[in-house]
Amino acid sequence: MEKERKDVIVSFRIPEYLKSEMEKIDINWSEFLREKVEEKIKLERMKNVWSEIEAIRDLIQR
Amino acid sequence: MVGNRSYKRPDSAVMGVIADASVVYELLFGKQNGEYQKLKEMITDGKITLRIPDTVRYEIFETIIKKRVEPKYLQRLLSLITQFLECVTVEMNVDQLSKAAELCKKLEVNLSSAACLILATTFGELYVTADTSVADKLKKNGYPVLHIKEFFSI
Repeated sequence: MEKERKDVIVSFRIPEYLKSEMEKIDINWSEFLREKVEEKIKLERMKNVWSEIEAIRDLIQR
Repeated sequence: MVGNRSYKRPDSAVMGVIADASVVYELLFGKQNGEYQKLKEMITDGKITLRIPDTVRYEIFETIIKKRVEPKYLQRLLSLITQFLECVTVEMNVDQLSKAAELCKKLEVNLSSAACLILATTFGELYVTADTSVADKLKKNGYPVLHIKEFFSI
């Protein structure tokens, strides 16, 4: 069964000019940023797993 | 489908790559030469999106299980590989799988290669293999595929 999604609010600071530029673009920023955060987490997880795999590979190949 | 000899890697855009077991295996266990290392970095830096069809997953497991690895390492290795593959695996739907099965029969390639071709077509991405015979056969039949060496040279 799929987990029920519970959203929380995350806030962060950006320069004022960036905020005004954001307002000029009509997109769902929450959705956009959510996707970017998910992507980054996936990449970081991949990096960590990869280095662990490499460590084991080196042990096996010794 | 059209061949891809004139393919040029885009400068800044994220490039999508569909890889088969031969490439994933080389990435994980092959000689850590400059090219594979560079490819690995491009993937983990988000410059290349690596995707594999779920059929490839089992091929990779099979290859690893056949390796002579001490049980204490094998268990951990399989768990890590599972985590890694979870990040890159695309589940194929029934329609895609049946198309892959048709292609598999028609071209006499294994199901995973056919699945890679279907995914590459679906996402408009490149199918990259380290298996020369697969690359040659698919190219002969006019399908868009790159051997990993060609991929490194673009």
